[in-house]
Amino acid sequence: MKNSEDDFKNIYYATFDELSKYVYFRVNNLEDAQDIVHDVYLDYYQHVFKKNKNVDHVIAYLKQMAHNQLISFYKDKQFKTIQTDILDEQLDNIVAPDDVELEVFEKFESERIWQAVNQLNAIERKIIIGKFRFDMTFKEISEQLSINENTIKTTYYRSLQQLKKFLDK
Amino acid sequence: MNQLKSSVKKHALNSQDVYQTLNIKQEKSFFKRFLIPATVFASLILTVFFGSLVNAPTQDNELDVANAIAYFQLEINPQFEIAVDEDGYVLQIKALNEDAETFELEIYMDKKVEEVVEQLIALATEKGYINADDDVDDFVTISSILIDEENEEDIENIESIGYKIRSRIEASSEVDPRTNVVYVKATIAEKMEAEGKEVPLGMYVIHGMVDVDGEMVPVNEYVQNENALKKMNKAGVIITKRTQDQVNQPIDPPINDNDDEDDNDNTNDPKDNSNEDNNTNDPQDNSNENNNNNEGSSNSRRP
Repeated sequence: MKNSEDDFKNIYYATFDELSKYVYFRVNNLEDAQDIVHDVYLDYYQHVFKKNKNVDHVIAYLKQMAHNQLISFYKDKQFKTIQTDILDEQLDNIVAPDDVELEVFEKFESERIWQAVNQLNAIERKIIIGKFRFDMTFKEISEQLSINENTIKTTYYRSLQQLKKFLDK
Repeated sequence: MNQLKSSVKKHALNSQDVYQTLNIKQEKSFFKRFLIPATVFASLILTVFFGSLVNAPTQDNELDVANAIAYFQLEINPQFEIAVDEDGYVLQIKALNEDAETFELEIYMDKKVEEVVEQLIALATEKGYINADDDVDDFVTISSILIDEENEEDIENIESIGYKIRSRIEASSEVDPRTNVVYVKATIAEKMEAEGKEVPLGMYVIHGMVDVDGEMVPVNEYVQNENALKKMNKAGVIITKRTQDQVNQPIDPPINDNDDEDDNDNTNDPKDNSNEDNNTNDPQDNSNENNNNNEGSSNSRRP
C-alpha cells in the first residue's frame, strides 16, 4: 500500500525532537541546524518515503542521513569550534539558583524573550535551548557539549541572570 | 509552561515551522484524482456532442464538431476557441470572454483556420486590443490542443495546420510586424486544468502554474512583466515577423534538418516533443496555398 502524507507526518512528529537535538548540538547556530533538519526530512521524504522503501529503524536512519549532511556541511564551511572553556573568574559572580526565579519571565512577551536569548553567547544559548527546547538534564547537556556538568549548571544560572538583565533594560 | 520555555519552544527548531517549509503536498484524494478529472472530461464530451449544454460559451457557432481533431485557442485579450477538422477547416468558433463577444464569429465558419486566426488578430488590432504604438509589447498566444493525442494521423495533421498558421502569420500583411505571436502546444489535460482555474490556456501552459492570487491576468497586462518574453520564449515558439519587404513573399517549408536550425532558434520548449522539424516532413503542406492567400479572403471555402 502506498504511503500517505499522514504516515509521513506521524514519522516526522515522532522523530523531530530527537533528530533536532542530534543536529543542534553538532552545529554552531540554530539556523544551520534548522537547515540541516529540513534537508534531512526532505531527502527522506523524496528518496525513501515516496519510494516506499522499507526502513526498520527510522530515527537511526534519519540520524545517519543527518550525519552525512553534517559531513557535507563541514566540508563546505570552515569548522568553528564553540568556545567551551569558561574561565574560573567568569564564574565568580554567579548567583545562587534561587536568586533568579523563572517567574520573572512571565511578564515579558515571547518575542522579546527570544531577542534576549539571542544576545547570549553561543554556549549559553546552547544550554538554554537544550534545557527549555529539548527538556534536557544538565548531565545530558554536559555530555553533548563535553563540558563539566557543574560548569553547565553555573553557566545556566548565569544565563538566566543575563536574560533578566537584558529584559530589564 | 513558563514564558521562557514557551518562547524557546516557539522559536528554536519549531517542528511545525520546519514542516511547513518542507512544502509537502497533500496527497490527492480519490475524489480529486479521479472524480474531478472524470467530471471535467465528461463535460467536455457533452460539450462536443450535445452542442455545449455544459460549460456553455457566451457565443457559439458550429458545424459538426464530431469531426474535430483539434482546438485552437487564440488569446489576444479577446479569447476564442476554434475547433478544426483534419484539413484545418473551422467547425466551431466560440467566444471565451466578454471581449470576444464583440466579434461577429459566424463569418469564420468553414474557413481555413490560419486565415481565421490572421483575420481575428487583424480585427483585434483594429479594435484597439493590440496597439503597437504604445510602450507595452503586444503578445498573441495561439494554443493548439489535439483531441486524440494517440492518433498518428491527427498528430501529423495538427503539425501541418500549426505550420500553416505560423507561416500565415509570418507572411501576413494584415498583422502588425511588431506584434509577438506565440504558438504553444497544449494537451487536453492542460486545457481542462486551465478551464478549471479560469485562466487562458496559453498563459497556463507558459506559466506552468497559474498565478498566485487566483486572479486571471489578460495577455496585454501580463506582458508588462519584464520576464514575460523570456517565459514565452521558453514555453512556445515566438513567431518572428518578417520585415516589411519580405511580407507576401512565399515561405518555403524547411527542407532538411540543417536548414531548420534558423527557424528553430526560438524553440526552447522542453515539452515540445514534436519538434519543429516535423514541418520538414509535412505530408500535407501546401506552401502555395499558405502564402498566396494573404488577403484573408472570405471566399476560401472548402474545395
